[in-house]
Amino acid sequence: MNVAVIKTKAEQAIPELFEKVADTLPGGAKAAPARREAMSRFAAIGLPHRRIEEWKYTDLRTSLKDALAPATEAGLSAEALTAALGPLAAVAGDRIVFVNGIYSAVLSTKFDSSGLLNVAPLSEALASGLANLGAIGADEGQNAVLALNAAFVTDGAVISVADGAEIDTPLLIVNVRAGKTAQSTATRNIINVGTKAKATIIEMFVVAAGATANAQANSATEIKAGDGAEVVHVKCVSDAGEVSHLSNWLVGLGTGTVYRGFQFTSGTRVTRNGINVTYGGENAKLDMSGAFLARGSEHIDTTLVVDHAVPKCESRELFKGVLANHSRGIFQGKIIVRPDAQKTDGKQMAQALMLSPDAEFDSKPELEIYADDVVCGHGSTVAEIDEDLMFYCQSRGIPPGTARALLVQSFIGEALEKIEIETLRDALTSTTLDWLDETKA
Amino acid sequence: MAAVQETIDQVRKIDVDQYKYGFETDIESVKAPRGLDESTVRYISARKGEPEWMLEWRLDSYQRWRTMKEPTWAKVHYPKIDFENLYYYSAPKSTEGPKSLEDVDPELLATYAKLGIPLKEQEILAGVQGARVAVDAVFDSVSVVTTFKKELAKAGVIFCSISEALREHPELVRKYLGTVVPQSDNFYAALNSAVFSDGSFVYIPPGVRCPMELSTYFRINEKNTGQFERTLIIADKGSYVSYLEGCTAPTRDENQLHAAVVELVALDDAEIKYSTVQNWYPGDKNGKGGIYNFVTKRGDCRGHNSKISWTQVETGSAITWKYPSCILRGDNSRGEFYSIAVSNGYQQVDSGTKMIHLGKNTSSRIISKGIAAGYSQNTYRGLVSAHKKATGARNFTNCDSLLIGDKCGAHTVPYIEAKNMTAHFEHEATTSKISDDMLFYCQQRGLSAEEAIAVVVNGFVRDVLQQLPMEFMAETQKLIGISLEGSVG
Amino acid sequence: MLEIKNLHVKIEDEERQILKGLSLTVPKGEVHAIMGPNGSGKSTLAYVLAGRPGYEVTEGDILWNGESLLEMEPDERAAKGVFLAFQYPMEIPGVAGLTFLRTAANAVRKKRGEAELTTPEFMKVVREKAAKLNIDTEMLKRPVNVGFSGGEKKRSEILQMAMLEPTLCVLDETDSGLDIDALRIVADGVNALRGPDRAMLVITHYQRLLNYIVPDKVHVLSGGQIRKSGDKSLALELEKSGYKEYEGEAA
Repeated sequence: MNVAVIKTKAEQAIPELFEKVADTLPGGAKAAPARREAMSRFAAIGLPHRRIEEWKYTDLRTSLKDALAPATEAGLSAEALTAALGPLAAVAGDRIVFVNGIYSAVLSTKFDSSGLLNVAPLSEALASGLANLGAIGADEGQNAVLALNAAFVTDGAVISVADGAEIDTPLLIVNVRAGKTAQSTATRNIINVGTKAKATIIEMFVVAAGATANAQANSATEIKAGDGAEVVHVKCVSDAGEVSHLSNWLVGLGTGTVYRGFQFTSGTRVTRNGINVTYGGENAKLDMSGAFLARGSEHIDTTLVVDHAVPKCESRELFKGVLANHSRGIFQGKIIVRPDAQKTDGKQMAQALMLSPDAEFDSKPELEIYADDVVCGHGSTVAEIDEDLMFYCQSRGIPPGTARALLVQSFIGEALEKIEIETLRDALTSTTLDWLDETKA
Repeated sequence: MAAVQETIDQVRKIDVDQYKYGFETDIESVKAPRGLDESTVRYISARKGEPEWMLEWRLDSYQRWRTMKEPTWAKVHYPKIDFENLYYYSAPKSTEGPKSLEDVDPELLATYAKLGIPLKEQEILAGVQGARVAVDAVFDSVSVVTTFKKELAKAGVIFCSISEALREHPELVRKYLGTVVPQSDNFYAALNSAVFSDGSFVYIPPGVRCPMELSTYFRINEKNTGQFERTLIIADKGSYVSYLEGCTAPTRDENQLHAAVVELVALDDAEIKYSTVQNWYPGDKNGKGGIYNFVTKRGDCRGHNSKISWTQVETGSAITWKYPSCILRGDNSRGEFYSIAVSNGYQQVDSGTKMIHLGKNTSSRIISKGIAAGYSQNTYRGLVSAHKKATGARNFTNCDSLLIGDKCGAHTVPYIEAKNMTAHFEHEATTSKISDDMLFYCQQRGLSAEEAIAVVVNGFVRDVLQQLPMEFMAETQKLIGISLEGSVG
Repeated sequence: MLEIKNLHVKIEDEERQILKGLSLTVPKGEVHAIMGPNGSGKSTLAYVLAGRPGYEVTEGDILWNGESLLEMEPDERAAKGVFLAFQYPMEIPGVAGLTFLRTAANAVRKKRGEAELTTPEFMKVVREKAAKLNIDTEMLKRPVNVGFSGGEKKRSEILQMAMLEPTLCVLDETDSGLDIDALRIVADGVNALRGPDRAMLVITHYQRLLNYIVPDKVHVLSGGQIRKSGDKSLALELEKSGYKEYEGEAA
C-alpha cells in the first residue's frame, strides 16, 4: 500500500541541489547520463521510510530533515590528519586520503603502477572513462541511498589487485571531514581483487578537529573478490556530532573466495550500514562481523543480506552492540538460500548489551531457505550486564565501575577478536575503552 | 522401542494419499444470499435474534472492513478472493430452533461420529481412559450441539455457542467482545466482526478449575461458504480452563475461506490453555482446492500472575495465516506458544506469534517446529517486544525448521524489539534437513524410508507434542504421519 | 579471626530462610571444614561471606578481624582479604586471564594502600606464583575460564587466590567435577597457601577433599545451623554413617 506521499523538505531540496551542482561533478559528460538517471530514480522513489519493510526501524524521511550542500575542499595538514585518526593512526598501511570527499594527493601514498596493484581516485577514473557509475547499476534497484550516491558522488578509491598478486601492506581508504560549514559527501569505492589475489582494505571515516557537527555522508563500496581470492575488508566509523552515515557494501564472491568483513561504528547520530553479499561460486567462505557503540540519542542500523545463490558456501556473522542512554541499535540480517544452494552452512548472531533503561534494540534475524541439505541458524540476544559476572569481578576486588568496563570490553571483545590485524584490533579496543570512559550511564 | 512400533502401526493404518476427513455430508441447509453487503449483515444478525447493539457493532465492523485492504506482507500467494461470490451464512435446516442432543439430526451425529468426535455424552464417558471432554460442535455457520452443559453449569462454568451467549448472557459478551481483537484490528478480523456466524463462548467463574476439558469441533461442509466463527473465552480471577479446537472440511476443488477470531481474557491468577489441531482440507497433491485459513487469535493476560498458553498443530489448509498472540499486560503474567506446522504438497503456512510484554516481570516462551515437504512454503513469523515500562521481561524463543525434499522452503522471520534495559531476550533458530544418519539408523533397524521419517519427525516435534492434552497426542502423531505422506520420492 | 554470629539469611523476595542462626569462629592460621547434605545452606554461606547480591541477612553479623562485612560491597570485602573460590567459576569471553588478573590485583593493592604493579613486575609475580602452584601461565593468555576444563578452572581460581593474597579463603565445593589428579594439584595449591596469617573455610559435601586438605576442625551444617563440631575424625565418621542423623529441620 504505497499511497502517494507528500515529499519531505529534504526530498524536494535534493533534486534542486543536484541541478545546481551537476555540471561541476567529476566525470563530466562521461558520467552525466548515469548521474541524471540515478537522480530521476531517486526522485521517483524518495527517501526510504518505515512502511518499507527493509527500513522499518530507520525512517530517513524523519531523520534526514535537511539536504545539505555538497562539501567543498578543505586543507588539512598531515598532523591534523594524524590527530583526526586518533588510535587508528597506529594502523600501518598505504593510504588514499579523501578530505570532504575529495582526493588529497598530498596526504595520500604515492602509488606506482606496479601492475600488481592499481590505486586511483574515482574522480580521475571517471574522467578517463576507466570507471563508470553504472558499474553497480544492476544491483541498485530500488535502493534510494545508492541512487543518491551515484548522482552526487565526488570521489572514492578505484582499486584493482591483479590475479595472483599478494598485497601484504593494508590499503587504507581514509575519509576525513573538515571545515565549519554543514556539508554532505558522497563517495564510492570500486574494488576488484583478482583470482587468487590477496588484499586487506580498511575504510576509515574520521573527523578533523573543529569540523562542523552537521554532516551527511553517503558511502558505497563495491567489491568483487575473484576465485580463490583472500580479502580482508574493514570499515571503521569514528565520528562525532549530528552526523548521518549512510553506507552500502556490495560484495560479490567467487569460487573458493575467502572474505572477512568487519564494520565498527561509533559516534554518529544516524547510521545505516547496508551490506549485501552474493556468492557467485562454490566453496566460498564469508565472515561478516561488526561492533557498534551508541549513546545519547544515536541510532545505528545494520541491515545485512547474505544471498547463497550457489551450493557449498559458508557464512558466519557476528554483530555486537553496546547501547547507552537513549540510543537505539538495529540489526536486520537475512540469510537467503536459493533452491540449488545445497550444502550451505550459514550461522548468524546478533547481540546487544543495554547500559541504560531507555536504550532500545530491535533485531530481525531472518532465514529464507529453499534448499533442504543445509545447516543454517541464527540467534539474537538482548540483555543488560550479567549480575553474576559483576559479582565474580567484584569478589576479585575489582570496583563496580572497572568491572562494568571490563564486562563491556568482554562483550565487544568477542566481536573484535574477529579482526586479525593486531594494531587495528588494539586501536578499536582503545576506542571502545575511551568511549566507555566518556559515556555516562 | 515401543514408541517406534506404535508409530509404524499408525503409519500402516493410513490410507495412502487420502484426506480421511474429505467426505461430504448430504444435508439440507439454509443460506444467506450470495455476496456481502449491509443486508447480509442484517440477515445474519436477524437470523440469530441478536440484540440491537450487536447489529450496530456488526454494521460498524462492516463499514470499517470496506475501507481496509487485504494484507500482503505474509509469504503466501493466492489468486484474489472474490468476496462478492461467497456465501456468508449456511446452517443445516434441521438445527433451526432450540437444540438438545435428542433434536440433533442423526445425519449430523453420524458425521461427527465418522470424524471421531462422539457427541453422545454416554459414549464420551465410555471413551478414552475415562477422560471426559465437553464438545461444542460447529457445522458450517452454526453450533449444532454442546455437550455436558448441565454438568458444567453446576460448577458455574458457562460453555455454549456464542449465539446462545448473546441471548443468555449478553452483558458478559458485550463486556469482553472485541476488547482483545478490536473490530478493525486487521482485514480478516474486521470481516469476521461483521459476519461471524457462530463459535464458542466460555466463562469460568472466579476460583473455579473447569472440571473437564472443553472443546469445539469445527466442520465446513457447504460449498462456496466462508466460515467465520468467533470464540470468546474468559477466565475470571483464579480460574483455570483447558480448551481444544479441531477442524476439518470436505475435499473440494475450489478454495474455501475460513476467517475466525478467537479472543481470550485471563484475569488475575487465571490460566487458559488453548490447544488447536487444525486439519482443514489442504488441497490435493497438485495444489487444487483447500481451505484459506486466515485467523486472528489473541489472548490478553489482563490480570496479575495470569497465564495463557497456545499450543497448535497445523497440518491442514491450503494457506494458513495465523498468529496466536499474548498481550502480557498483568504484572508477572506469562505467555506461551508451542507450535507444530507441517506443510506438504503446495500448502503455504505463514504462522507464528506475538508476545507483547507490557507489565512488569512478564515472561514468555516460544517453541516452534516447522516441517516443510513437497512444494510447500513454511514460514515462522513472530514478534517479541518489551515496552518501556515492562521491566524484567523475559523471553526465550526457539524456532526449528526441518526440510524434507529440495522443492520446499522454510523461512524464519522474527522481530525482536526491546525498549527496556532489563529485558532479557534470547532467540535461536535452526534450519536443517532430516538427518541422513538418523534415517539410515532407522532403516537399518528395518523401517521403511517413510516410517523412518515419521519416527524422526515425531522426535523433532516432541517438545511441542508434550504440551498437548494426553488424548490429543496420539492422534496428532498420526496426523503428522498422514500429512507427510508422499514426501519421499 | 572470622566470627559468624547467629546468622539468619533468606533469598530476597522469598520467604524461606536458608541460614537460621549459624554461629562459627575460625581463628587465623586454622583451616575449618564445613560439611553438610545438599540444600543445607553451604553455598549460601559462601556467597553471603563474599557479598553476592540476592541474599538478605535478616539477623546476626559477620565479623572479620572485628569489622562487620555486611555493609561492604564485594570488592571492598576482597580488599579486606576475603576470597571466594567459586564452585562454578564464571567465564568472561574476550578478556584475557592476564588482563583480568592484573586489573584485580592492582585494584586490591590500591585499596590496601599498596603501590600498583607495573606490567613487568606483575608478570614476574605471576610467573613465580604460578610456578609454585605448578600452573602453566599459557592458560592466562586465553579469555578468563572460557573453554577451560573443570580442573583448569579450579587451578585458575587457586592462582587468582595466590595473586590477591587473601587472609580469609573460602573454598566452595572445590572438589566438585575434579578427577583425583586434578584434585591433588588443587589441594597442593591450597596447602601451599596455608599460613599463620590465613584463615580458611573449606566447604564440601564429601570427605575425600579433606584427605588432601587436612582441617583443624570440622563442622556439620544442616538445616541452616551448625549441628556438630569436631576434629578431622568427624569427617571420617560422616563418610561412614552419612548425614542421616542431621537431616530434617533444626529445632
